[in-house]
Amino acid sequence: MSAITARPRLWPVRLRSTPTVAAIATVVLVGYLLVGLIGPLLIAYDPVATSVADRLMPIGAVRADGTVAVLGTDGAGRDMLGQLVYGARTSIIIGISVVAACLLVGLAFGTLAGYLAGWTDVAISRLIDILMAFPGILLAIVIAGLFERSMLVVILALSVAGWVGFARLARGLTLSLRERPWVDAARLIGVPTPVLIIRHIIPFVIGPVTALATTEFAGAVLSEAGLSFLGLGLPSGTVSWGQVIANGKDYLDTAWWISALPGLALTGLVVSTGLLGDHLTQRLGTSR
Amino acid sequence: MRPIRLRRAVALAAATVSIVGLVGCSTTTGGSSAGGDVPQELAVAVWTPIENLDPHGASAMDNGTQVAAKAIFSALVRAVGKGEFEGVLAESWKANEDATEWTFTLRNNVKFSDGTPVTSADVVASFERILELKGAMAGNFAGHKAKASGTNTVVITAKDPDPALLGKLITFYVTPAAHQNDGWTKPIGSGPFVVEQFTPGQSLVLAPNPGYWGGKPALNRLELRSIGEMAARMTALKTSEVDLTWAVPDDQLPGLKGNSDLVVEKDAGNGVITMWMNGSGKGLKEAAVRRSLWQAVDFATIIKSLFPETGSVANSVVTSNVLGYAPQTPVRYDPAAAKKALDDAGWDYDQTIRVQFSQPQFQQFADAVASDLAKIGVKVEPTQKEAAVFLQDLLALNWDLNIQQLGTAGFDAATNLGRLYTCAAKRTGYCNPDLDDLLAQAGSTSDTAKRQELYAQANKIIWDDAVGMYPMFVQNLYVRNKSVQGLAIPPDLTPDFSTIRIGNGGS
Amino acid sequence: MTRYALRTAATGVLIIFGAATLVFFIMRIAPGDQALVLLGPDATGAEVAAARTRLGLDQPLPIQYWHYLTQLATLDFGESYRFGQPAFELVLSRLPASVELTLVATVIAMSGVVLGALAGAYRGRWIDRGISGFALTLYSMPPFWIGIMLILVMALQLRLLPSAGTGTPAHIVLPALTLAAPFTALLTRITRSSVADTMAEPYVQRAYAKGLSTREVVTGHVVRNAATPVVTVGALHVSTLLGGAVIVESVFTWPGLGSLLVTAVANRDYSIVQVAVLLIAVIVVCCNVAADLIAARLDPRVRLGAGA
Repeated sequence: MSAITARPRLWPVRLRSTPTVAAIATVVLVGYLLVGLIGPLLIAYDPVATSVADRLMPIGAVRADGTVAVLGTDGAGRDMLGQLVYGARTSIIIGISVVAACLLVGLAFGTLAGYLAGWTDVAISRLIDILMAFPGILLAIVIAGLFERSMLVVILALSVAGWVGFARLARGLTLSLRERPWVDAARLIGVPTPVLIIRHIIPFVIGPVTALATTEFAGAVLSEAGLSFLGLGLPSGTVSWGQVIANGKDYLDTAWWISALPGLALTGLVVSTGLLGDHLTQRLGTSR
Repeated sequence: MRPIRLRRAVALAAATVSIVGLVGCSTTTGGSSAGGDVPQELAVAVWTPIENLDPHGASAMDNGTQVAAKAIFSALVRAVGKGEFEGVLAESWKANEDATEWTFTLRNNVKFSDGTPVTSADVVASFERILELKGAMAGNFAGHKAKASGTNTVVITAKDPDPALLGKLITFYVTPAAHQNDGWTKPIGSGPFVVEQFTPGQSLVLAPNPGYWGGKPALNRLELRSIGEMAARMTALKTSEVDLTWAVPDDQLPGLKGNSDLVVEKDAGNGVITMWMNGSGKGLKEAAVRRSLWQAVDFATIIKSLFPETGSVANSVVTSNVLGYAPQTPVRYDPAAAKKALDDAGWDYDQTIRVQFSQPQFQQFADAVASDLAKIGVKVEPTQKEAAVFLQDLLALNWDLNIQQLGTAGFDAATNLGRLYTCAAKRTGYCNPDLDDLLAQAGSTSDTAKRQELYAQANKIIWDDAVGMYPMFVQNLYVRNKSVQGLAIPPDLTPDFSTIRIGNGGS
Repeated sequence: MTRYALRTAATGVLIIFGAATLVFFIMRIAPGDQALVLLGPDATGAEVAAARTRLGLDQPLPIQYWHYLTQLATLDFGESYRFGQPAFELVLSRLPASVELTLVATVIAMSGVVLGALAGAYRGRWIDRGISGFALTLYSMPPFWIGIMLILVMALQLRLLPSAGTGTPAHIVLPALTLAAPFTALLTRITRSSVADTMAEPYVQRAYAKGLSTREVVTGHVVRNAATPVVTVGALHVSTLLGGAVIVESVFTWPGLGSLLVTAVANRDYSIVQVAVLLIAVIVVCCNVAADLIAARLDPRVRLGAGA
């Protein structure tokens, strides 16, 4: 990329002013993180505490006890603002956990396949092929649908196919890295393979992989919402934006805000992750 | 590969369009009773998908299959009131002293839609098929045998006395012995309608059976469309894509109220929200504890807010249209008294009550219950479980509080109290030898008045010992276009379409 | 060519076999007993045991797996216990609806190629920013939410289009738009970067030097060369499209493969889940092959069978 931009050219190619955009995206993301981390401490919201007398209240309505439902209430009389805040926490936790799990597995498999080559590479590559070809969300639906609802199952269901992206990237990078002189040198002086991989390969792989992690984070957040929307995801005690959107579907005619608001929050989170991801890909990534 | 698929898809779309066109233009009318030139055609939205027309198989007890079966096949008897039955295929019947042997005499003139007469051999073959398939219905007839004696007499014998047999037989549909092993996409029956086209899980198109023994129905075309999605079902109703549906939740009524073409009706209802408290579980052994928990929930308010139309505060373990119903002392909401009683009984406030349910419509209800119990410091964790897991946990008693809506099949407490509350059934975690005695007695006599009395006593024990909370009777809402006339609202969610005719939109 | 055919066939078989194996083991280790679901809560222990024997569930897992494989090899997919019909026929009967939906969505998503080409050709200008921003936002919205918002606006507020079901051509508009949304965004992004890269190639710069307008340059030189990555990456995401269809079909009660699969999972209707998953794997493999062939036609530099 940089080689191209350095070349003088006749046709004017202007780069997007990504640093500004990325800065804004980062600020928004940090905002989401803060809401997810600190919000639950400030807003007391118990997903189980319902107030059936105050159900389906519009935005800004006043409850029976005099408090204001800033963003309205849902079909069981629960506060929408509280659900949005707690939903943010759920999305962030799931997103980060899935990415962490996928990153670890993907990095391990990818570098091993790339470094060891031979049969290990063939086996892992074919596994990657299978999982790449198959719709990941479908696999997640089957897994989340068959097991009891819990956060762990959702993280697992989304990770089963999620790691292949990291593995593919790490494998490709490792393949070229293992021929580099410093790797050869380390191998010659007898550095054990695990140490060699961790010391001399992983540090060079981590940059591009981080860029990919933002994309995977966005994907995991969206997929979790999709699962919860189908009623397959998290237990009902955990607030999830997808679940709130699904709950609101029956009230679209009379209380549109139940479905509309969590979707907006979700879009905001994913858009800012995407912007940051684009920026990171330009800075650290490789064209795959 | 692609062009072929594309063509097929286009052809499919074209075919669907032409069917719709036909419906719009058709001017066929029903018999003279219909009057005018209103097309006698009805489209119905069925709430659970009709996946299978086999009335004996695995999905035989699904509402969708039941609704279809009632239109296509005939049963031996049907329920008309509390412990009262009317013959359908059977002209008359009698039981021996201890209700182990039931003899049914069949009507003479009934024919299947292929013209062959309905004989005792068909009844026996159908009965044996149920036992052999071991589907959802077989459990009702454990130890039963059917035998033909002559062409129009059938004897059903039971190993143990079975005074409630008639109630179980209302969902036993007779199919021709000669076609038991055919596919079940176009089955032959002796009901008011015959199958014209069946697309599993989507649509069932029926035509009237001209040879129906009860007289040819007025409808010329009846389509049962499976629309599981609530919002879609309501939209279809509003746009007159369908003219009748049922099991409409309370929350959907405000959206329908503005439409002057729609008529809302309620059935008598047969369901009770039943919340067993696991008597074998930790902390819930004492009846006093279970009663206090019940007392701590403000069900009257919950019902008024969540189920203003379909719910009413229950006063018995079974509904009033069931044999065995007896009104009980209402449980009054009194959180202070409940808290005190729990303190006295030494309730462990660190214990979390695990509430399980499967159907999404209980979510808000379960949350509201949990919220009320939390107010007196009792920890509750409601969990919606995936159907298969729910069932497994239900039977393993792997719950503290289980929420279900229970109906009483055949309107006879035998299928509810008699089946679920014995020690041997191991369904509620509750075991009481006195109750076992009562239920055994009630299960072995054929005297209806005596049985009513015995079940009433059982009802009282279950209620007073708070085997579960019995907060609410459930009624069902039927919504129809006002042109749909002659619908008798059934108490069991399976309407009889043979009496329906389409009137002028204005009437 | 032979080499390519062999390689493709081997990979295809491997993918299908892998999908089948994965699904088999996931379903066997999942909680929830199929025999219980079949019989309902009133069955006795003996009846449940008998049903387990009948279904072959009482045998050791490797033997069950072997039976499963031999059945697959003979194209015997078993019967759906709920529908009482051969699972394969049921799944096939739902296929046309899904294909119809996916094809219409793909056609709609082609607008992304036009948008992406525009953005790529005018990279860095306001039109690029507008289109890129739009694509990113569209890509970031949960598809099911787009669907619900479309229902809210188009069906409930404006009463322009039906919100669910099938029947008339109008019925397909909302589900197809919903399914197309993320795919459109994806195609926009891929095309944009592909076109932008091509624009930087020396021969394109030369065309500019000859005094051709941007439009002439793009139509004459860029489109063909930028198309290859679009086709390849686009085909890779056909599986995303199929996965998305599962959720979209549930939102709009579209009677396709996806809605069948979701209910089958809940009902533990193993045979349907197995066939549906297999069929989807086969479709994905076919699409990938088709994409390879098209890419080879478009770009003579791409040789089939080359590369790892």
